[in-house]
Amino acid sequence: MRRFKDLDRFEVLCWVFTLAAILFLAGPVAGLLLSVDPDFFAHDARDPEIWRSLKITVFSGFASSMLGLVTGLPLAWVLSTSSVRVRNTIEPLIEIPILLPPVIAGICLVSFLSEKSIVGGIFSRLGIEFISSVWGIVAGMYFVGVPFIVKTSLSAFQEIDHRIIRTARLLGAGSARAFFTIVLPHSSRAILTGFILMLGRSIGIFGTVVMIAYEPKTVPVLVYHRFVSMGIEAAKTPAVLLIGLSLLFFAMRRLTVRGS
Amino acid sequence: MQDRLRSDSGRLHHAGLTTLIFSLLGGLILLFVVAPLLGMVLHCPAEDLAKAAADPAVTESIWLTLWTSMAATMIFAVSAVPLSYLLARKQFPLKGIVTGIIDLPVVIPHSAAGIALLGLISRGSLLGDLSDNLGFHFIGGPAGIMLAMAYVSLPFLINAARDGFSAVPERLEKAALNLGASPARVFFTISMPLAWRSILSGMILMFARGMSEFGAVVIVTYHPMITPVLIYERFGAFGLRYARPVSVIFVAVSLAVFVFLRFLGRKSVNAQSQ
Amino acid sequence: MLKVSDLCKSFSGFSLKKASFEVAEGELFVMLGPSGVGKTVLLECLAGLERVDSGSITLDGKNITCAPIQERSIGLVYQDQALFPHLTVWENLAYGLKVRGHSAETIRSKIDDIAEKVGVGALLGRRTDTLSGGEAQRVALGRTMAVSPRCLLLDEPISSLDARSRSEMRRLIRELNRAGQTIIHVTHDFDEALSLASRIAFMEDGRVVQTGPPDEVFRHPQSEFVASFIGLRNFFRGVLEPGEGTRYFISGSIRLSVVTDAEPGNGVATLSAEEVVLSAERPAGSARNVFPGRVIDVAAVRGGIEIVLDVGTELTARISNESMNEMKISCGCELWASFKATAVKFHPG
Repeated sequence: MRRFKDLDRFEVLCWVFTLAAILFLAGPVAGLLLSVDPDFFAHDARDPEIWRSLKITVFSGFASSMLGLVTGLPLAWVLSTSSVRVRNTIEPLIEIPILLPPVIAGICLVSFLSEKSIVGGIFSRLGIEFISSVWGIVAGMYFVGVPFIVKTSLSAFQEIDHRIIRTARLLGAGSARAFFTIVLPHSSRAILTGFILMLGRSIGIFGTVVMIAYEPKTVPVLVYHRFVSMGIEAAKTPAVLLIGLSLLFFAMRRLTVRGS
Repeated sequence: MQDRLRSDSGRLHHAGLTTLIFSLLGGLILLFVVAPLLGMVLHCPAEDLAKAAADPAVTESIWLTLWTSMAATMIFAVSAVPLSYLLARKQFPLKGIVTGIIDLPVVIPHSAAGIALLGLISRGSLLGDLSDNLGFHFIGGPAGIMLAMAYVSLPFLINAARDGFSAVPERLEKAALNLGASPARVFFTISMPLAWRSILSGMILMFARGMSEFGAVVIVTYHPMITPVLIYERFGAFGLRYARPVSVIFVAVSLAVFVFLRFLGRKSVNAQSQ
Repeated sequence: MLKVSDLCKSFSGFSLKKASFEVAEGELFVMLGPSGVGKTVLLECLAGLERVDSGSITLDGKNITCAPIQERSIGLVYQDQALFPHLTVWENLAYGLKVRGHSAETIRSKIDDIAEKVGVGALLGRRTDTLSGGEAQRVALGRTMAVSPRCLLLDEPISSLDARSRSEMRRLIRELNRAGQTIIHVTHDFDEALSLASRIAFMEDGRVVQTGPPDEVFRHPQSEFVASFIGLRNFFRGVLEPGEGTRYFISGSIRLSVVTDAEPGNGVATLSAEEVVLSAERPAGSARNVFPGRVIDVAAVRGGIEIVLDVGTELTARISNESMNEMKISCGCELWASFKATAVKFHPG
């Protein structure tokens, strides 16, 4: 029934702009994937340097995201039960790491965690150095990623009918028990989404991590390092691996969202 | 009865403990999120700040960052707004894939995005050669910076504008069509004004994202330096003491710009609705 | 003037199936049907806001089935008014005129005219979110009237209003119609239809099942659907036997005595629920129709109680609250129902 001449000129113009925008967004990634020589990629991907940084990245990503769960969920729960005024003051603070330019977040963290600072000094005495170490990478990833877990789980907690929790309490469950048996299972999907979001953010973060630790190199740093020292062709292998990894997380997130 | 009371008070005590632990854990995060920023600002001596503020390299890079991000937002809004409108209103094949593509730049790490973009516009690529022949260079100039900024920040505008258009009741557009307005006129007199608030906040968001971008820009265009690149370089070459004042100034300037934009935005929204 | 034939449009949840009807110049044509049978979609098809799957729409002899919205001259007023929230009342009224490129002078005088006609002269500078339901409806009506449509479509313009605004709105619609405006009015409220319509059309399941002047539709419902819609509870389809004076009408397992001069053959018989008399014993009176039955439903309605009896088919009686209390009727009771042969109305067809 729909014929082409039915399309209004304005609508055609809209489609042209839309097509341009989609090309702009999809083109670079598609171009990158197409420009990679499979033989070179297969050979280069076996480079131990790449494997080392992949391991570091995935390990630190999971470590920081787990840490994010352990600390972020209690904060979200406390916020969801606290008064509106408290929540409204604290919620914007949680956004700071998202709003802060990554490089500046890096600068902040370096001065906060270096052994000359108070906090860094304490950890240094315990034998934990942050600058140029996996600890620092985990700290940087945690900083830029934890808001995602707090935000997604906070909105899920706020949606829970508080009568259910009260009923559980009336049935004799302590508040810790109510939290673990009622609140967490009810929000499991949102929490999982937050976890995957944080994981994706942690693994991809460059600006913050490069300030804290150029060495050991995470994959995003390796991409930059190879680009600067060996040129764009050499940077493509880790870049493709990184894109593949993040697309995997993206697909997982879409699946969890669709499931709800 | 006695037992009951005791167990009740025991439970209360227990509840208090859980809340206490939770609050402590939560407080730790808050501390970790807020303290580094505060520390940076407090640790920055006034004389360093003054010196950095007087440094033309710093002021020039801040100015460059502001205008490139603003220009990128304006230019790309022209295609992003129609796209959001179509996404909000029309059903078309492969719509799921299109929404996935829109989120792509948010998902992929920025240094990888930089490599991908550079591959597209570098010398020897189709687009790069084409623009070189036209005497126009992406790499090493503001155009490259804008491209990189727009690439990583466009999705924020698209998503905000799409939500804005979705919130406009379709009935209003139909009523306007019924009164004889052409689709273009309906778009400009009904849909756009009603979605304006969302579009504007999407543009501010995109602008902010573009300004703070480092990973993609540093790969596409190191020179001229936008402020995040400048901070990176000063940190690498001279150390924390030289990077800190620039960071503080940049954060302060961005904050001031956003407060100003919000203020302007509120005024324009009020003007729209009057 | 407006002719719709075999209009089909499938939509999620419901569909129009070969809807056909015709509206004459100056008519106030009321479409009656329960909510969710596609009345709004039908109007949107007429206005060109929805594409039809098949069928045709002609206005003044011109086929406008596929004509662009702007060239149709069919105005639509939505139930929820759809006023533009970012514009004032005046700007809302002016929207269609500005689109048409009239001069500022013409627009101003036209709006003054329209505002007086629909009674919103005092509201012109107001924001639309400060209007009451009735005021908003008047503005919406005025906005559409301003572009002088050949045919005005009203989608449930009254049902969302309070009682006082309702009667004012009805008066306004009648006035517009008296001034020569052709109106198609859609509603699910039978009383509203009766008070306004010069002709009524019933919509059932995406089809127009009966059209006619209100009194005719009321007297001769052609389907159980229409009968139940206009509040007629007893509706039988069957065959009238030949004979003189009191004759028999056979419907399923029951046989009704009817007084009619109609030709024998297929038809429908209707019976008002008030005419049915209930009694605990077999009645001794002169009623020709007497049936034993069991009560299967008791429901309170305005001004009494409706009792549904199973007499081989369902038969509904309406009795007063007093007799209800006297007879102590409850579900499962065995009762006798009786009514006069003259109470049964036969309509051939």
